Amino acid sequence: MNPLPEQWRMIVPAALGALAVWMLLPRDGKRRWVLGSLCGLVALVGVLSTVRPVIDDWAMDGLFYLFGGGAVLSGVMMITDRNPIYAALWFALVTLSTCGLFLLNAAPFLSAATIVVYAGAIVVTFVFVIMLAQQAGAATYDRRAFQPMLATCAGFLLLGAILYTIDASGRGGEDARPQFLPRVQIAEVTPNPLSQPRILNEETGETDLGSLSSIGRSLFGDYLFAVELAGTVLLIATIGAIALAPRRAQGHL
Amino acid sequence: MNIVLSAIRNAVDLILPEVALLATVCMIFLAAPFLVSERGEAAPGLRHRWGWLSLIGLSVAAYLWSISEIQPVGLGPFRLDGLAWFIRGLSLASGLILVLVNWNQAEDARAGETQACLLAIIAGVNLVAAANDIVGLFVALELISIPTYIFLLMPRRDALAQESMLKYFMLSIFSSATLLFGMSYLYGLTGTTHLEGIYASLQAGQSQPMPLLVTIAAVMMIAGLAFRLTAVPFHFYAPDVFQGAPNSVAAMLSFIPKVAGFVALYRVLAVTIPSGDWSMLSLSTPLLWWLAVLTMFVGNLLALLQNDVRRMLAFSSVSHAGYMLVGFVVGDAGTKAISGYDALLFYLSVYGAMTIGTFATLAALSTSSRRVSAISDLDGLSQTRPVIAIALTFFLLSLMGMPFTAGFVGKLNLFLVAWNSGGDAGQWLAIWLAVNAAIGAWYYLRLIREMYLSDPVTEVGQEQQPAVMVAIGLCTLATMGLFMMPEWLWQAIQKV
Repeated sequence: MNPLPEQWRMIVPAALGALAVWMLLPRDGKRRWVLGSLCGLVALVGVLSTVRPVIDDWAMDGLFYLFGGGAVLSGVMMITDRNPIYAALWFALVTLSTCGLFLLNAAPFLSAATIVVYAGAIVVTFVFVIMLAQQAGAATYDRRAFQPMLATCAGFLLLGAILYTIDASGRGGEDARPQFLPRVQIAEVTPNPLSQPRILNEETGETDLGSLSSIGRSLFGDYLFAVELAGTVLLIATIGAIALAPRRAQGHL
Repeated sequence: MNIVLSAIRNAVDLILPEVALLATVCMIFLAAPFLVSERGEAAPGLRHRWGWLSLIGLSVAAYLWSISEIQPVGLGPFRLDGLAWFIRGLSLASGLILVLVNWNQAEDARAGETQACLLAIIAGVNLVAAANDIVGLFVALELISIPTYIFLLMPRRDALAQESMLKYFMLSIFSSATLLFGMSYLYGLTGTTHLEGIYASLQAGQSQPMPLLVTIAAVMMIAGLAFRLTAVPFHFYAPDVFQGAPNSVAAMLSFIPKVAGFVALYRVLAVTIPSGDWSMLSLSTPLLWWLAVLTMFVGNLLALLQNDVRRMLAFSSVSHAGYMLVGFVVGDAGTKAISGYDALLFYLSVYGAMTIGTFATLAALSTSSRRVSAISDLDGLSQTRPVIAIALTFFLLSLMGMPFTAGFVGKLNLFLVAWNSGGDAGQWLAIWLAVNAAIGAWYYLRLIREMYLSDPVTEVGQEQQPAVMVAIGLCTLATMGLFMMPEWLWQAIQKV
């Protein structure tokens, strides 16, 4: 394993990013947002220069920088914004940028589903809850971050450790790069026909792997019981929420 | 199409007890709202009917469990190996006792949903043990968490209960996210979510070039599951939640999440790799060693400082998680006859009987208007409620690990496997275990002293609650019986 100083390409941007977030977190008094934003931008450029996409195609690279940088920037804005409604909207932008990354990685269904669920349903729920809960104006805990120092340190230690590990595992030569693995055959049994990719074109060997219909077959073939169990969990959550809600005659919790 | 239908039928055959439990849950959920009036009142005594219905559901599940047989592990979504069989029996037995403890905890109008949540949690534990896929494992863990949130707030809804529910909710979600992060790395490394596929891929050494990514997966999954074990440093919620939660919920929380956590940890980490000098386990053993030692010390030392019975028992639960982690760290090593996992399973079963029994006595002493909270509330209990005082003393002696209780056998086993596991690390672990058992004796003895040597100052509940008394009796029987005849449980554990 490389000693720590040799990993400066990962450690310096992580430290700068931590400094930026710490300076930008909402607090009493004035925030040093010019210095904070500068630190943040330098950190972002530093990370993006190390974690580069592998393909050499200017359009794909441009889109990667757009979506990746956009996700990180919106994420920082989300946790540093004083207004919870804006924070919810920044969260929608984080989700949209991540969906862009999914699209770049040829996962159109995942991208569309994430937009529908997160940017659609969940952000709308957040906004409703914030509107209902904040009729008296912003509370103290929105104007001031709780334990900004500890939170920043913990978050960026985790992020730095993960970036360092991924980077280190990619540096061990060509063999050590993360790669697609052939699936290990476990046992000689007749496989479930639903979980096998369907062959579309006999000559080219093209399959429908990754398409919507194969996702559907896998969901209701391999993962049928997980889906049913998730349905049970949702049933319990729904009934529980109704049972916990105050009755009209009682009026309060 | 036939092959698909037969695959579904084969999978359902493996989880018949859970199907029975979840069917009971659905039945209660559907029927309960119709028996409560618009004003939120129900016929007096309705809770007895829900209690009996839950007992019937559990008995059907237990019958289906007793006629089930251990099957070889296949490629289906579920497995019924020895561990799944054992955990299923353990969780159904503890579920039976918990239903009895929970009998009078909620008012009539809410009793149905409360018992249904408990049954759903029991089904979740069984499914964690039966899952053959990390997706199924995660959903089963959520089937434990989500009913727990409701269960925490159902019986009582004062400020303390709300605080404890919210704390548990937030931290539980955080731990689930951490666990999912680790699982996603495991999936990325092996290319499959199927447990057998993951084992095969790890054993074939496919991820050998990327040991660091395996480390991320292991560390993140341990962090996520340590929350359920209440291992330090993921124990912060325990004292507040136990203090605010109703007694039956505290009894459940001290035991059921530990069962699920250890089983899930075993499923994802305990892959033995015959060749090669690294594995998930060898990467995570040093981490788990430190977790075990820290958990024992922090739990016991902080328990010394508590003045609230339930807070004290919460820290005691933390320290017991540490004792059980000792067994997990020892793993397949140990003495000739028993491995670390065997000792862990034995201690887990014994701990279930004694901790549920302790909380059941607290439930028997509390009334709807007043609960036992400060330790001084137990002053002179031997004069006001002598039978309960004797039972509580017995459970506390067992938690301490005194002879003539099952806790002694359990701690002795853990000590022996750790001492004989070979190497200094195991012997140090055994020494720290012994030191901590001695520290722990202090606060349990303090409680016993208050009961026998002080004069009563506060009124304790005098209501006769037959269901809770039966639960206390069953727990006493188990704690005593497992000291007299431990081989009865050993035979079941040997099947694992």
